[in-house]
Amino acid sequence: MDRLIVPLARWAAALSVQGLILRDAVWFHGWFCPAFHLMGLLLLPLTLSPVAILLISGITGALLDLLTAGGGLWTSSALLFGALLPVVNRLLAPREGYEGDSRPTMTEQGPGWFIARTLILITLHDLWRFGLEAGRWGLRWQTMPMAITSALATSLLILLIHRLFNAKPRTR
Amino acid sequence: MRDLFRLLGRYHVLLLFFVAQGFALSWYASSHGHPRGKWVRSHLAITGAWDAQWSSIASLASLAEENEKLARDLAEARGQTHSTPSFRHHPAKVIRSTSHATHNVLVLEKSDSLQRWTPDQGVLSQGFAAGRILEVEGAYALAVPLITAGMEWSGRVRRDGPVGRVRWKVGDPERGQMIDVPRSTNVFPGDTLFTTGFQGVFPPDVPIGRVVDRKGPESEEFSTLEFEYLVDFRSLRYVEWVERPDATLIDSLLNTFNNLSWTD
Repeated sequence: MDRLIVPLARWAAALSVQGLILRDAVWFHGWFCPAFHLMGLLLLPLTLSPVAILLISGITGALLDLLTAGGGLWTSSALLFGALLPVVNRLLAPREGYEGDSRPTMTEQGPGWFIARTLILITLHDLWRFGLEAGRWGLRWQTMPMAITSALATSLLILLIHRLFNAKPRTR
Repeated sequence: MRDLFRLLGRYHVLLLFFVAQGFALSWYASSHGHPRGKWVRSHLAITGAWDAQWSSIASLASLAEENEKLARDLAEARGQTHSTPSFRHHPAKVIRSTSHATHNVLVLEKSDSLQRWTPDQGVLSQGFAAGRILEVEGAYALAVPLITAGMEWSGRVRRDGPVGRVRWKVGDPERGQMIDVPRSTNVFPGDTLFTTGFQGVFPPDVPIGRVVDRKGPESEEFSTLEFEYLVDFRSLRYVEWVERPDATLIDSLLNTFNNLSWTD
């Protein structure tokens, strides 16, 4: 039961932070637009079915759109994120596959796995998000560097928060 | 038909993604036009209360900045209002102050670099006498507040009363004393003490404090008035310094007087 409650609590917390506090955050003249709610999706159980991940991602985006007047932008981006998450998980999976109770954390899967997964997924998410938003104005190519810096900064933020709350227990 | 279901079963995630993405994109396309429709009303209904709360939290954060801006604007406005041909008032910010030492100081920073300040100019706070400039260096000035031991100021009981010497009641940042007040003078608690303007530091009739008590034996010719300062020296933020345009002229007259040789 804990295996589902804890990730869902993390998902709700990340979504609340993004939807209620970082909702209109546009920092450094648009070079950093955080998408902190993705942390909740990144920490969903590895064994969760792709359909469930896609549905949770869609709900995340839709809730965020309602909270931030995004008008479908967050939903679309989160759906892409949700669709790619199992694919990236598969690509980065160890040869013998994930164990039944393994969690997608830095301590269990290693920093390399966690950083690569975070960077790949958030970069794709932000490229889609920025591209979609700028596409209407024909600014798709100009916003690409902004999407990349935003993705890097969001990834760094998520890594720091994750490291802070998931410090490796000291061994004697 | 069975093959179709098998195909759908195999690619159900992809199918679900495309259907959901289709909804999301049509939502996006429909919402970024005018009018933005029903979903905006839903958004407003959901977030309206939160927006109000968040706005009040955000305004708390900017309260200090707003207060500072108001205080600065007020000091400037007061400076313009109180200026006369003989005394011009200019705003300055208090960047350091002490109020619990024996020899207290104020360090001021002027906001207008064009105005020239010099030693011996008066410092007012909200229109009340606060201190005197001792040294200046560029945009900064060192001033002594009225609550400094060993300094005496010229004061008057009410606007028409006798003149006395005003000094700080050392140790109490709220109280001062006016000494050498003739016993015959009618003074009551609540009467205001004003500057005389005789020292050339303050303009005349600037309020200093309010009388709270009269001290000294009845048999003596002079008494001491205890009063409360009108300036709160512990919370000085913005002050005005008083420029006297004819100061050089008056100083030169005084120098002439001092240089006279008295032969008789």
